Amino acid sequence: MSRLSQWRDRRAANRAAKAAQRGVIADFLPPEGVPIRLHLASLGARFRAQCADLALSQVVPIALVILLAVGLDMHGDGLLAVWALSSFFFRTPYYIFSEILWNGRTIGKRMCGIRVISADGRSLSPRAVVLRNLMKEGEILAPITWLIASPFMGPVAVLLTWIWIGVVLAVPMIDTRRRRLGDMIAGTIVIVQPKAALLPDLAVTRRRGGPAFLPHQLDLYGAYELQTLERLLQAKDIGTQMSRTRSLEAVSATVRAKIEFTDPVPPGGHDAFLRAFYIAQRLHLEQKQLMGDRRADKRHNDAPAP
Amino acid sequence: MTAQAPDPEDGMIRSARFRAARQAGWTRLDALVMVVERRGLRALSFAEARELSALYRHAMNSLSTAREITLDAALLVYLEALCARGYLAVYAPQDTLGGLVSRFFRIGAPHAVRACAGHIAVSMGLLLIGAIAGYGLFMEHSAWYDVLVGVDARGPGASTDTLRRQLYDGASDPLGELAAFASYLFNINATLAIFAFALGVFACAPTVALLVYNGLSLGAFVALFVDRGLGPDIFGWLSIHGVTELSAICIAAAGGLRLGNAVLFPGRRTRGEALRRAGGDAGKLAVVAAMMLVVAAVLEGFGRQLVTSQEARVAIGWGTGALWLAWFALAGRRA
Repeated sequence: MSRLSQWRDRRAANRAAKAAQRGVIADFLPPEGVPIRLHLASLGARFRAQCADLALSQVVPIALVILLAVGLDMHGDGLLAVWALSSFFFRTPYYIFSEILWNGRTIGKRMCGIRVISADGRSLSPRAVVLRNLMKEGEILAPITWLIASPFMGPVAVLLTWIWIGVVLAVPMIDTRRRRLGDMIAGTIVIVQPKAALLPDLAVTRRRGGPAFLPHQLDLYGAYELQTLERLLQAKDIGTQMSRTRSLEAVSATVRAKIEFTDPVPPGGHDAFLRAFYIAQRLHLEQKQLMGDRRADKRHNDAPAP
Repeated sequence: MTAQAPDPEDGMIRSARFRAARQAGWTRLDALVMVVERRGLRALSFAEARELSALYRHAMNSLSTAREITLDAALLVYLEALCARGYLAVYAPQDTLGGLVSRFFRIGAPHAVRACAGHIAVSMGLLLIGAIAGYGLFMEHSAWYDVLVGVDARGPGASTDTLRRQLYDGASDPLGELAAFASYLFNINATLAIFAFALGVFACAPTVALLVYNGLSLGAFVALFVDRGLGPDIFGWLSIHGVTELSAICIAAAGGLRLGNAVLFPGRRTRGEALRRAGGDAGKLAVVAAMMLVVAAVLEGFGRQLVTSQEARVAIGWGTGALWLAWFALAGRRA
């Protein structure tokens, strides 16, 4: 293996590690064998989803309690008992059935745009759903009950409850894939529901007679710069028209200085110039890439020669 | 030659032509996936479902190619998300809820219980050891009762009559008190079972401690009644729900032990993998235990207060136990 490719591999590994820290799974492998990159759900989103689901799963028990209190004139311990029993019957089954029926999405998770998937690339099995939600009973729901009951518990029990809560909260924070204990046993992860709109292709429109570029002018930049330019050109509704014009002007000036492009560009023609440059640069880089010369960014020239 | 030399066909660069040729298929897939996300796979007709899977595989193909040939970030991001959504739509679980439930009762649960028979025996043994120790300790000195069971009015200080009444009396306000008492005990035992299960992950130790400790208090409790010559009465009182309830705790604990076992002795697998494999059986045991606790709560709340004849109590209690055993031992075996 050449030193160049070793160096590239090392850099790719570094990038993957950084991406993992930001909460991206690099290698989710569906049965088709094409790795897909997915984003892990943030702990904040999971917390919000959890709160929403807890509230929803309490609807029936609380309605039952109100009904009994008003209709049958029940009170005191009896009501408490009805509430405790019915929440036991509705809580965990609600999570299990909604995740099985809607493929890993409870109503709360839907609202927060997250879902559960199987980490091994197969479909989410009912087994995994049952397991992770049974563990939830011990991990999240039981501590909440104890917290409510804490005025009636001894100091040791309260201390144990807090230790338990600390451990349960610490696990997803420490884990690189933000799994809680139930996720680990069930082999599941919680991800952001993937969502993307297809932006128009900048390379479709092609103006004849626009500026022309020479190969040595296109050897300076890499894919990173190209895609940054793409984002700039795609961004239509960010900032005012004035600020967009001005940033295009600044970028165009930087690019022209870098590639030593000497032809004059008319005052209103920076957008057209950058689009032409984008197309030429993309064609150039894609051709290089087809021949096995991947250029990640502008530092590709600094690499030791193979 | 400049790099901008026009291409022969329509002046578009290669990767733009790649995209233009396939975009209609992706848009169609996008629409189908949207339907599945909103209304489920059943909302598709047969032709549409077939189209979905074909388009999904084409999109996967496109993604794989696009990563090699194009630097169009908008396209790469879109295809990545589209393929992920397609994957989630195509590989959604196909089981119906009814099928899952009936399979669990017919095959899954009894299989898991039989597979974990050893663990269940160990849990029962631990509970029994605790009970014998608790019984022995109480017989040695009745002050152990306060340590093991807790200080309450029904303790060694109470008269034999009070204790007897406790075993046979119904409640004055049947609806309220029955429900309160049942759910109180149900919650304690459900919590205990959940703990015995969930704590098993931590290398069995908490589960074992819980079992022995509860055995101790059970033993002391029984010893108090035996000491007052109420031995047969406490046997009947415990039988009617205790057979189901204590078995449920042991089964939940066996699930915990199974998990702990995987952590302690993963064999040639990694610990995480061993835990996942053990998780299947352990989860089923926990569900079985939860159901048994519900039955126990019903028996406790109604049966124990309404049925006060000694023989009927024993018959109901052990009859239920025999039914459980028959289910575990006989269901789901291939002839």
